[in-house]
Amino acid sequence: MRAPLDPTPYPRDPKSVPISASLADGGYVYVQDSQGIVHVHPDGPHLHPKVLGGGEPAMYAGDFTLVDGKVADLTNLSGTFQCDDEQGLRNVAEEFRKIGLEVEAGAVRFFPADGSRPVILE
Amino acid sequence: MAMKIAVLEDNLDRREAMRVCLKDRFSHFDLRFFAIPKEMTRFFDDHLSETIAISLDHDLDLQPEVGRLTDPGTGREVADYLAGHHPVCPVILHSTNSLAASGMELVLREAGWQTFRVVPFDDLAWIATDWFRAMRRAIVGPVKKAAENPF
Repeated sequence: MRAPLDPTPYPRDPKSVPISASLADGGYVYVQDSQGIVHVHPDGPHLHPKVLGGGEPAMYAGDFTLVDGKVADLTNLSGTFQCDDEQGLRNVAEEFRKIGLEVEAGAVRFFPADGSRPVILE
Repeated sequence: MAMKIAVLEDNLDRREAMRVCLKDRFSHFDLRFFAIPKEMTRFFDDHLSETIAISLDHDLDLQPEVGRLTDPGTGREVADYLAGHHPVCPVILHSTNSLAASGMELVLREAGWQTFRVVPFDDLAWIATDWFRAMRRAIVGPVKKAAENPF
């Protein structure tokens, strides 16, 4: 589990919801909680600490884009949680598939913590 | 080695708003700001291949230099420089000078560079919205095609 770098106990944003296959197209940030549930919020600045709220730690976090109901990209990009293990991102992709979201080939993109060139995981 | 995000922007308020946005998502990259085109192209002489995204303004304020003000040039100089090099990453053009931005866009596209246009509005509001979305597209999008495109 990773604690947020911004420890402010923001309230959970009311637009934050558990992920579902009925999400509208667009950009989102996501945070996976301690139970493995992925919570999402329409993309915007500095939202990661407000997805779960209360300064809660995350199992994983990042952002993604939904196009035509499919996941066009899924990343580990979060300055708040800075998750840096590839397997964690693969696990998030698997959670997406479990709830019925199609993750396009090449969509899972991992950004290494050292700032080196990002890579496609799957 | 950390990839670089290079931004030609001389306004300090804009810089700070950009820095905050990028820190929220791209804190692991090396962010460099420039106010003078020549300094930016000198940086690219050594680091262009390590650059993952570029954002260019066109009009730049006069710069103080030994008791007088000098013209730093424009973003067009950087666009012309880039057009003389192999494309390495997308370029965002964030200028209210639409005629000049169109010229930069044309010269970059003709040289094979991918470009995004962002038109500033409402003081700094465009940075957290349009500019940041363009920056994310510029950085995350090309990863998909890493094996098949010039980036």
